[in-house]
Amino acid sequence: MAIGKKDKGGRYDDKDTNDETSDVPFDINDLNKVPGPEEGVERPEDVVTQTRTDVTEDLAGRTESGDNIKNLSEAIRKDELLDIVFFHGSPVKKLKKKGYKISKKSELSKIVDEILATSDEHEEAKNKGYTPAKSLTVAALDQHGFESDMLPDFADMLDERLKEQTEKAKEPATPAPTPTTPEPAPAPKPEPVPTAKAKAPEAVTDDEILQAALKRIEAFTDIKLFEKFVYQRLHADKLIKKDKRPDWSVTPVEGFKGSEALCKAVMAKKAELSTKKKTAEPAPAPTPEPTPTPEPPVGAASEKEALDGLSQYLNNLTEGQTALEDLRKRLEQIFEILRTDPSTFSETDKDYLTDIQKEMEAVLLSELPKVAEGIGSPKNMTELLAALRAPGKLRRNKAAMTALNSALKGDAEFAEIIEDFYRITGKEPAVAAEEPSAAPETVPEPTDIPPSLASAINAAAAGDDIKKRKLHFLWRVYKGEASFADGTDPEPVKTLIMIALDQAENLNVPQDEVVDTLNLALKKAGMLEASEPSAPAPTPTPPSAPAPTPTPPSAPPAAPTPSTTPAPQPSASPQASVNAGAQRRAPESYATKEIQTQAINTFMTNMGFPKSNKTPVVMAIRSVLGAWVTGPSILTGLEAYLKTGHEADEIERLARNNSEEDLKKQLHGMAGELAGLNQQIEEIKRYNRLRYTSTRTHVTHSVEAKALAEGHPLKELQSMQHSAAGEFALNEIQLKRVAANMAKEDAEPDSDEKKAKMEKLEKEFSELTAKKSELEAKRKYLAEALVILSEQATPVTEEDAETRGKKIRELEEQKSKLDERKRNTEKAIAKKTELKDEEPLRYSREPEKLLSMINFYFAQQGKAANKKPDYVQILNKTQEQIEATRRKEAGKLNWVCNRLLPWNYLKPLLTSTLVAICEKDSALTKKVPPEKAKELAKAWDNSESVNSWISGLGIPEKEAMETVVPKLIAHLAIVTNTGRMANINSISLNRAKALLKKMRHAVHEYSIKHAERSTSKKSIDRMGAYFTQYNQINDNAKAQESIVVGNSRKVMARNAFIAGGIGVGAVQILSLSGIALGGAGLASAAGIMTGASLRVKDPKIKEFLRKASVRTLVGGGLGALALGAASPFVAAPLGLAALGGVFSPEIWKKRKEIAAATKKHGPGALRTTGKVGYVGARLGWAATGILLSCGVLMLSSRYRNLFGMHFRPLLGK
Amino acid sequence: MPETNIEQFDPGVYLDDLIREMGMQDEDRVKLAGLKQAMFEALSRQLFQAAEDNIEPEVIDVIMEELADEEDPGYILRELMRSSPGVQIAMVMALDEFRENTLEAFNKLKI
Repeated sequence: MAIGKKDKGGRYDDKDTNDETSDVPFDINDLNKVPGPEEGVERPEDVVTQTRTDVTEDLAGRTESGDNIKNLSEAIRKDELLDIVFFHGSPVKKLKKKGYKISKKSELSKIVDEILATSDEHEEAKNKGYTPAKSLTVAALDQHGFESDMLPDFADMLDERLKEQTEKAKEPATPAPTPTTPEPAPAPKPEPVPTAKAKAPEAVTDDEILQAALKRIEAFTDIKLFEKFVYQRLHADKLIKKDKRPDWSVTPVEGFKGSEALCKAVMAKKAELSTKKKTAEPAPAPTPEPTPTPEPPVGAASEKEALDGLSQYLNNLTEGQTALEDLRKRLEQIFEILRTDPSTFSETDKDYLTDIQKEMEAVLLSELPKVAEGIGSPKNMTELLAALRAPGKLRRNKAAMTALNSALKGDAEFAEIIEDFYRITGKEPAVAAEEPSAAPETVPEPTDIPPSLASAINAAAAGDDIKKRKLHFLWRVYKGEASFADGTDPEPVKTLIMIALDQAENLNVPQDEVVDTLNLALKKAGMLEASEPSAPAPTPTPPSAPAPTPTPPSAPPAAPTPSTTPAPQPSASPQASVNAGAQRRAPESYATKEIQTQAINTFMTNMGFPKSNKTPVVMAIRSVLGAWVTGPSILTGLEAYLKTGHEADEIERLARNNSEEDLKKQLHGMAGELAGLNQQIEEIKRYNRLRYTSTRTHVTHSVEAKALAEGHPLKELQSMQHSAAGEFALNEIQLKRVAANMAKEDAEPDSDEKKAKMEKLEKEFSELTAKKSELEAKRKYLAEALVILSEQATPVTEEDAETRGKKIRELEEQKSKLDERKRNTEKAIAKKTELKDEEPLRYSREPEKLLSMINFYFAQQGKAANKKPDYVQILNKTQEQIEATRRKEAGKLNWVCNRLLPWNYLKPLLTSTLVAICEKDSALTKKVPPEKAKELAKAWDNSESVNSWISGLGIPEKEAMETVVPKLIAHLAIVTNTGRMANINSISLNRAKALLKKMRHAVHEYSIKHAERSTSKKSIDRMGAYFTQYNQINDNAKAQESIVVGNSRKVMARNAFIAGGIGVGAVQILSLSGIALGGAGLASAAGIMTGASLRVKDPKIKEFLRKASVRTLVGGGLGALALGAASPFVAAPLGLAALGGVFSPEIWKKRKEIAAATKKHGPGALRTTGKVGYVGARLGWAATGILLSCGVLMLSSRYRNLFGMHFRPLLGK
Repeated sequence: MPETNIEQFDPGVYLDDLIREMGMQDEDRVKLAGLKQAMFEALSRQLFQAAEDNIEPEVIDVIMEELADEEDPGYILRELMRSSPGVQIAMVMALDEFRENTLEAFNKLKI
């Protein structure tokens, strides 16, 4: 038995050796109780037995004598006791953790009680009257989720078992028991707990023990499941190390007489098992010692074999796991090196990497087969091994990785390591591939080429590596990962690759065509001309005759050589095909385009759109069609989708596209057609029948029949046939009647009367019989004659028979199709009534909406067709096209107008918005000063500047990332909210969006960084950390909508006011200047008049002049006053009043005299006092000018936003 | 990653697929459930954001009122998506972005 020092049982070793009982491992009684596999006998080679022994001792020690407390506590500390007594015993684990030293059973109970006193279950159990042991059990069971109903029973059972154990322990004669099997699995079913007994080593002879042991060995062949469980459990309990397993080749126990035999038996068993594993035939156990219970390997039922198979599988599994474990360790070492010394790696020390790789491959190759037998399906493993064995493939062979992953499913950690390896070493070829090459396409083979296209590429390259690489380069161009160094326009090439991809994925397109397209793409990329002559070589291709004469380059379709090997060298024949293929391709695609155009036009008509193909709709469709789909069918689907919101079925389409009358008409027509078909079929069938009869009578056409056929037309013959049939039937009846009469007469007593009657009847009978045969003949001739006639009408050949059969089949087919159509139409009519109640069309003619529907439909189609077009790309492309079309349509002026829509420009700019946000949101106020906010607004187009902005905030990163940035994000989200009225000026909107994206990205990066700090090496933990962080940040992103919206509204209102202010201001200024002007004029007039009044002698005139000048001056003064008040509304009437004052009626009456006086004396007066007025007028003009320019300057500087909004787009900023 | 059919979008299935794509499906179930929950939170946040950005608030209100008792967020999302193709596209984009971010994070973190 596996006890003692030589065991590999981990920490048990030392303790075991100290135990004086260690030489008595088995309890016979116990063993004898374990006959069947179902009871879970363990394998002696396992460590379990040994631990059991310990427990046995412990249990033995735990007798009523109580003197072996040490053993008891030992057992408890090892949890073993728990397994037996307390099932899974978590409570005692708690005990242990709390550091309790348990000395007595009663004490144990007490302690357990104490612990459980706090727990509710325990209280409950106590209330139910359970003993401490019971309540403990109840708690334990409860913890394992058992039904509470079971608890009392189970507890009783357990108590009983306990008692039993104690009793047995009392018996001195009982040998030390192996506590044996704990529950084979943590099954809910309370299986009988093995009994523990007191030790009594001398009571049993070694021989007995040996026999028992051997018996057990026999028993455990089919109990590997249990063994595995025990093994794992022990490992889980850290009782043994995973890689330490008992070594049976060494004599296990000293001082045990049977140990050697036991060892042999174990080894034999092992050998037997392993031979079974290798060869299917069950080898008899070569046990050297006579085994009491013979293992019946040969005669075993299939059940036994199955069990053996299972155990073998489990065996393999454990072995595989061990192997895997080793492998993992080794790999981990390797990666440790890689991790700890990345410099070695980044230096591209190729040898180093190669060594690692070699080692790795060797490890994989040597270890994995072992794993293979235990884990993974054979197919997976075969794939894996094949992939692995391909030299040098591992590092970049994705298939190997996939196979490996699936083969080792369930071992994610290992897969990770392998993935690592792949990833790390996968870099190597990229670095290593620095071999100088002029062509830009010297890059590792792209791995993302769909297999269908890849095979097409292979076909196109036909073994030519350079060409293949060129094509791969084109693929990368298509993916946007590469570009042409010489500035070739990549678009056509991309389109061609796209087409090729589409073709490659379409099963209906022959590969040749794909190859053609690829070649065309190469040509477009200018990669074919370099290495090949652009025309079919003058040397005609030998195999195909159509173009024997050297074709000039201008006639490429004439050389339809099978497009195969397009060698890059300027050797003649193969390249011809390439070009031919390329050229041939072109007309085809035009044709497709035509079909597309037609289909689109139909679609447009159906949808009620104008046919013009300049509308964005067509552009959209075309961009998708050109990129992806061929054929009009997609448009039918699209149409149905647009009309119904989903892809309608045939019936629905019928119902939608036809009026009810149309449908009924169609139905009617179909019924007629159907009847016609039926008739045709019937006729052919009838003819066939005739033909059949005629072939049978073909040789013996009778003269009579021929005469009949000659003398009568078909119709007459037919009626003759009818009447003959009637006559024949009548004759039959008559015959029957006569025969019956005869029989009746026959029964009468003989008489003359009877005789006469009989005679008459007999005569009648014979006449009738004669007539019958005559009629039969007639009918036969008639039938024959009919055949003859029909044969004459249509000479029969065997071929005809065939065609007729075919025709019938065709007609039947037509009929069934028609039937189907008819049914559908009927259903459609029914559906029509349903549809009437439905809402009308779903689609909107509003271009935006419609386009998104179209886009979406195609996107969906892309999925439905199980293709993988980059529909986002398609959408983008479509969007671009739409944008372009719209811009073109609207024209620049329109576009400018759109952009300059007044109130768009009343909305705030990004800068002012950000400033406002940071000012208003209290969480941001202190952290983001206005200058910083302005800085941020400038960083919108650059991820790095956003990042440096964040780090430049001068607050801890954590705070910045977890409060400031989320807040900003939340606010920006509201700012860019396009569903409602955007809260920002249209030009700033895109910037805000870009900024939002960059900030979100920063959050993402931060979350990653955060997760990277996590100590766990498990991806899942780190992923979890990432998401926790990410969500937490987003949780913080609570914005006050009122800030953004409020700000936006406020700014809009202010700007609107300003805009209004411009008008008001203009009026104001104009009126001010006008008043100033007027004032100046008045002043000068007053001056003139005053001056004149001084000279005029006529007192009356003098008086008037004086009055007028005073009034003018007063008016002017008042005007100036109003001007000072800056209120044009006041100034204007005052000014008017002043003017009115000048022209008072009296003055008006005397105006001529005044004028004359002024004229006479005015100039002189002007020279004296009038100078004042002149200066005043000058000053008035100057004031006007100054006022105007000041107003403009003031407005533009103060409200430059407003002007900025207006002028920036015009300036192209 | 299997394609997502937006009309039958189910966040659970979507996340399962994503997890499978990350090769995490065999991880510890408890941990996986936690991760999935976290992913779900992040995903629905993005999707709702996308919806919010593209649907008139009144429409959202109506939908949310109708679905007041609905507990399946997937259903709510589907309803929101149904309101206009623009939302669908925005959500597809949001899904893509989410997936991209997740995978990027995963690739960075899986060592």
